[in-house]
Parts: sequence; C-alpha cells; structure tokens
Amino acid sequence: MAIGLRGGGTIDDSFPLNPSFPAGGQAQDLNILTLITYGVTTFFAADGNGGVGNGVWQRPVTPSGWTLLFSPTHETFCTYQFFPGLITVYQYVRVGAFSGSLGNISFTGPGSQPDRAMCGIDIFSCGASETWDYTVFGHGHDIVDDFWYDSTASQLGTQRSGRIDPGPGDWQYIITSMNAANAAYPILDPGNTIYNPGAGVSGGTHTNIKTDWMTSTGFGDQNEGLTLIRSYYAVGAAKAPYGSPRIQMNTYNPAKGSTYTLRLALRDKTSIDARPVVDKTKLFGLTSEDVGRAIENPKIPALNIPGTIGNYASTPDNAALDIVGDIDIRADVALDDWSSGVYQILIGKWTTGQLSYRLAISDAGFMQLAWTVDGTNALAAGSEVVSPGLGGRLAVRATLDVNNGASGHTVTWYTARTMAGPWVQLGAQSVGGGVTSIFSGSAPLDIGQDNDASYEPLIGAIYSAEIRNTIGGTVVANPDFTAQTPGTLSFADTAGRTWTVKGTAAIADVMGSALLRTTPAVPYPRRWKNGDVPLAAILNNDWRDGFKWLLGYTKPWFAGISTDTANWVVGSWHSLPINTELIKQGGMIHATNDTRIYVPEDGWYEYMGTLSRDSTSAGTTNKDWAGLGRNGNIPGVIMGSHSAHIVEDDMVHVPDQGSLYLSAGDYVQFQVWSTAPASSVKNWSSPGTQFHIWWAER
Amino acid sequence: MTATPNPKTWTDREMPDWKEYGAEIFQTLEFLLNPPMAWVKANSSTSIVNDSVTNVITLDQVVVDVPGLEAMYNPAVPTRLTPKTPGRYKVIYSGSWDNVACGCSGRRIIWVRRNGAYDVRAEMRPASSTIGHLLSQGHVAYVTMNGTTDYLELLHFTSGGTVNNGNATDGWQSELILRWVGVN
Repeated sequence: MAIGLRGGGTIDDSFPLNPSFPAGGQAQDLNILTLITYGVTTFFAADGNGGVGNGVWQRPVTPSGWTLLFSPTHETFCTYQFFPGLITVYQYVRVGAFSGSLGNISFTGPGSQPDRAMCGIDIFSCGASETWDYTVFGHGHDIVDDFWYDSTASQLGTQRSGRIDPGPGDWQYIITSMNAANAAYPILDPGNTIYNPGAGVSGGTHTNIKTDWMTSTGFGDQNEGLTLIRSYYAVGAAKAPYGSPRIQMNTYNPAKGSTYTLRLALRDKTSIDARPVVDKTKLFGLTSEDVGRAIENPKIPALNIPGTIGNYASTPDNAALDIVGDIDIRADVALDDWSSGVYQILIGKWTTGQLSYRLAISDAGFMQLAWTVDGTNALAAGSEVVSPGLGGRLAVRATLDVNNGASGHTVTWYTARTMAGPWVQLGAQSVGGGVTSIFSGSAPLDIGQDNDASYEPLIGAIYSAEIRNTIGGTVVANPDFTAQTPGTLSFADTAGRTWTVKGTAAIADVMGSALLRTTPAVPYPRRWKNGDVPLAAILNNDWRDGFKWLLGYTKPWFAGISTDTANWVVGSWHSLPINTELIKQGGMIHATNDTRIYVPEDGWYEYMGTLSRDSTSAGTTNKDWAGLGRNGNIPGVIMGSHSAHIVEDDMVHVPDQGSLYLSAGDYVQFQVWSTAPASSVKNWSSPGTQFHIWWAER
Repeated sequence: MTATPNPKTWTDREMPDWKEYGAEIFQTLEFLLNPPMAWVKANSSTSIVNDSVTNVITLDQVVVDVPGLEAMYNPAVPTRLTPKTPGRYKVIYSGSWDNVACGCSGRRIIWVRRNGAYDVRAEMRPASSTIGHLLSQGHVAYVTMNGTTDYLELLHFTSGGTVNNGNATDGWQSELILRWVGVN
C-alpha cells in the first residue's frame, strides 16, 4: 500500500494505514498514523485535481513543511502535518468513508484499495473545553527581569515575551490587559503578529481575534478563533526538528501596575493529549513541569493593587475599628518588591489629622507599625527585615501592647506563610518607654494606601488582612479577597465590615502556590490509560524527568561552607552564614554570605553538618552545640552536641544528620551554640564547617 | 571511568527507537537500584602511632564492592577506595581503638581523607584510660569524587600512647563505606 507521494518515501507499515475501509461504511478511529518521507514531498489527492482539489486541502508556502486541512464544509476536519523525514497524523484521527470528490484522499498501491476518504480531528464535537491562564504583572520597569522572558530567544525591541508551546489542538486565546498603557498582544512564533494594537493602545480584552496567521493558505477557523497546528513550522532551522509554533505575548513597555493575562482555551479536550508546555522560557519562573503543577494549584483571587493613588480597598470608619488599646494587625501579601526604596502601605486607618494606626513595609523591607495618640504626631516601631521567600508572598503581623507592665509599650513582629500561621516571631520585640494609646479617629480603614499620602501605595497583591482588638482578640475586620469572585467590587467580611474596591484596583486571579516555585518541580509521573499514545514529549515528562531527578541531575541539593567566626557568640544560638557554596542545584536558594537556605519543593529533606573550630580556646573546657533552624526557629532541631570537651586545634565535630519536612519557601539555618568563641573556623579542606541539605522524599 | 546514566531528551514528535528507549530505562533502573558502593573493614590490626596524623588504616576485609573493573577496592593498595563512577558519595566511617595494651588516655580522632589532603574528622576524648575499646561510629560525610583518580582513606589518631585499632578478632572493626548518591 502506498499513499500518493512524490519525492519518495515509505510508509511505516507497522501501522495499518488503510485498514479495511468499507466503502460507504462507518468511520473508524485511529490513534496515530506515521509516514516516513524523504526530501520535499508532494502529497496529492486521488480526485484528479493534482493535490489542490477544490479547496479541499491547502498547501502552505513552507516548501518542505506541509499542512493539510480539510474544509469545514465537510462534516469533519482533517489535520495533517507533513515535513521531511516524518509525517505524523497524530492524536484522534477518524478515518472513514464518505462519498463525493471533495476531500477524498487516494490510497493506491498493492491491492488497489479503493479511494477512501480520511477525515481527521473532530474539533467541534469532542469533549469539553479547558483553559489555562497565564498572568503577569507589569512593574513599570523592565519586565525582562521578571517573567516574560525567554533567554533563548531574541527580543524584539522593547517588547518582552514569554513563549508557550500550546501543543496540538484547536486553541482560542484571549488577551486581557488591565491598567495597561500599552496593551499586550500575541504573536505566533516565529514572528507572525496575530494582533497588534500598537503602542499607546490602552488595555482591554481582546478575544476571538480572527487571524490569518496561516498566511499561505488564508485558512483558519475564522469563526471559531485561532487554530494552532503543531509542527507547522517544523522545519524551521532555528526550531527543534519537529518543533511547534509557540505563542508569545508581547507588550510595549509594560506599565506600572498593569496586568496582562493570556488565556489559552483548548476547545476540544479529548482531541489532545498534551497541555500547554512552557518551553525553555522563564515564563513566570515556571518550567514545563510547573505548568502542570500550576493546574494542580489553581489560581486564587487576590486584591491587585497597582501602586498608584486612588486604587485600593476601603471600609468606612466604624466603632469597632476605633481601637485605643492593644491591637493586632495582620496581612497576607505578595509585594512586587519588598525593598522597593519607598514605604508601601499595607493597611491603615490613617487620614491627615485622623491618624490612628498603620502597618507598612519600609523602603528597606522591614515592617513598620505606626500609631498616634493625638491623631497627628506619629509614633512608630520597626522590625527586622522580613524575608518573603520565594514568589514574594508572606503573611506579616504586628501587635502593639500599649502597656507592657514595665512602664512601656511593646511591639512584637511575626511572619507566616499564610494567615493560618503558624506565626513565627521575627526578631526582637520593639520596646518603647512609656505607656501609650491609639487615637480614636474617623478615618476609614484602607488597604493598599492611606489618605495621608505620606507613604506610597503598595504594588502587588493582598490576599487577606485582619485587624483584632487586643492581641489575638476580637476580629473587627478581616477582608478575605481569596474568597471573593474575581471582579467583585464590594463585599462584606465576616466581621461585618463592608469593603469597596476603589479605582483600578481589582480582585483578580493570581497564580497559587505554583507561582512560588522556581524550578524544578518534583516529578509527577503521568498515569497512563488505555488508548493513550506515548508521545515522546510526554514520555520526557514522565520517566525521563523522574530518572534525572533520582540520579541527582535536578534534585534540590545544597552544600556550603561556613568560615564564619563573628557569629560564634558565646552562650547563645546563632546562625552561621554560608560563604562558600559547594553545591547549589535544583532550585535551592541561598544568598552568599547569608544564613538562610530556601527550599523549592515540599518534601522530606535530609541534612548533615559538621562543625569546625580552631585552637583559640585550646585547653579550656568548652561546649559546642549545633542546631538546625527552620523558618527562624532557633534552634529548630538540635543536631548534635559536644559537651565539656577540651578545645583542640582544628577540631571538628560531626554533629548529626537527620531529616525534616519542609514546604516550598521554607528556609533553614545551620546554627551553633558555644561556650567559647571561634577565631578561625576552617573550611572543608583544612578541615571545616559544612552543611548539606537535600530533598529526599515527597 | 563509568558514566552515570543520563536519559536523553526525546524530541517532540520523535518516534522512539524502542531498543534504545528500553535500554535507557533498563540501564537507569539498574543503576538506581545498584548504585556504586563499597564497604570495607579492618580485618587485621593496624598500629596507631602516638601523636601521628598519618595512621592510615588498612582495610583488608571487603564486605561489598562493585564487581569487576568497576571495583573501588584494590587489594594492592588496601587502604583506599577509588570509585570508578564520578559523582557525589556518601561516606560512612567508623573507628576502633584497642586500648587494652596501652592503657592510655588522650584524644582519639577519626577522619577520612580524600587524595591525602581533604578530610572530615570526628573526635572523642576518653574519660578513662581503663577503657578497653573505644569506638567512634557511624560518622557521615559527603564528598565529590571524579571517578578516575580520587580516592578516600580512613585515618585514626591517638595521643597518650601507641595503640592498635580494633580488628575483627577483637570484635571491633574500623570500617569505611562509600555509596554513590548523585551526579555531582
């Protein structure tokens, strides 16, 4: 049997290309059809029209790349991609027989099979649709620094792009630009602009944009949006051998506070066996695996605040909010920049002349709690610099004890991964002299800005906030934006406060915890089901990535050396800065000469440490303990001790090894407690203080 | 040097060569289920010279080793383990001192040394010289080996008098375990 080929080629006969087509019989479903061709191959139909039969199928200009599309005037579609070396008709292919000259493809050869018709992906009738959203927030600065950047691709002028390989199927895209001075627009790689609103065009929603991206044919599902066909650009020199077209979303100078969302809608869920793949991009900082995880960690609504005056959420003054004594303020936020150089307001009841209380993040990234006794003259306390961890999301909390019982007042600082806690105290308390109180003013309670204009509105997202009368006491306001429907402009919180979203602030979906990941995700092997076709790309995402993980190519692992001596403060726990990295892979995050090592994945981690000291206190009786701190706990785990030993030169303890469970974004610190200082802690080679931590199990 | 499996990236749309495909899975699983590992012990006693940092322990009892050409242990140099596969290795090492003869106190230190230079130590100080045997067991280190020339040794130290390290006859054995855990 041979399909009509010019230019030579063979058919992979392992596949029954033309299995018993009953003339006029019922359609049959084939999963995959593979033809091997050589060189530039011409495909022709047997209807005698020389391969260009009545508009039945189209031939793109790409000389060695072919797309064969059947007209939607037929009852079903056929979609084939031809290119040298391999022709693959993949996925759900329906081969059937129907009469008429249009659309017939001849199968001729031994046995003289009668003409048969093939029809293909039935994109309109198979299954439900499914969508994936990709959202990025403009910062008013070079967005390349953030997400929409593919380091492997050239950038077009000031345009920034991330690329998505949508996979085979029939796709619709929707572009939404919020608060954007210049709208985003999609480009189909390698450079065909689908729709370009041009510079200066404000944001908005553009959907179902008709396109002639297949310029060679003029063909497209004009009435249904955009049809993307994998491998159309398969032979492009710069592409993978059988690469796919990719969607880019470009912007002109993304505006500060703008939001761009690209929605890809797969309209035929069952005709496709792959979800969008973000290929070799840093789109959202996610890898292709992360995209899968993102689906498992769906987007959640949050109050998106652009950082400009007038765009925030507010609730009117209420007697319940007029707290004059102890207060407890909490907020779960994701700031674009936690040390932005300006003070950013989280939440406050703070209008000129009516200043009561306000929690902000400082220019350098520490919490600041401010209050007044008289409505005018602010008192304030500051925390240590907070560590938002991966993705920039963190729950922060400040409590003010107006009378600490020692003729003073005390502010205590906490952080947590979410409002659910557990709350971990951040640094030391801020203790001030004199008993204080809070002014009972008439200002509204605002989130994201205040009405004093002394500080800047925040840029980022607020998930929820909470005000309590007394520390851990009665909740008097608790807007939970994650519980609201995107687009909600007003709602009542469970404490009875009615919140209004102002200006261009908006409750909109943001990525969930997957956004917090850098790379890589723990492999999640796919569960195959009957009828699945093991495409190579999917195989890659299964056992190959799992193997690579297990072999240690991608598994998170950190090892470092500390030669620190300054932090060996006698008689208290201190974390040792790691100033030399031996190994850092798999998304482990550590800033050189810092004490914190962030982990990128949930899971059980194993750790090991050695502790080294020199002879400074040789001959004295000494105690050394080592510990492992988690999220600022000191110590979280006692690793090992070496008590009542006599300090010797170049002495090394091997404190301990162990394991503990950590969540993505948690950090650990290697800690020491000693009764003698160290003047020269040595490194591995002479010998040294080392700390290892690595992902072990899910 | 033995290469660590590194499964290839199958190009999207590429039709797998099933023989190659199967071989990759098989070889990788084989490797993961049988990572390079060696476990050697001191079957005979080595004299631990007082106040010397060069007491390399003879490890002449092979409990486990990679077979054939991949063997880490060479009987001709019974103090070393030389992995043939590059990567990151977990080192587990234990020391044994037979104090019966010397009856000495002082320091006891055990360490592993890579290529005669790098080391990780563990130290103990006997509270009494009457202790017959001292053990310092189950210490762990992680080292990177190049799979060709890098080797690891086990050393013991003593102060207060020359001792022997415990051996199989005494029921106390110094030992060194090396196990591959990652590619770098």
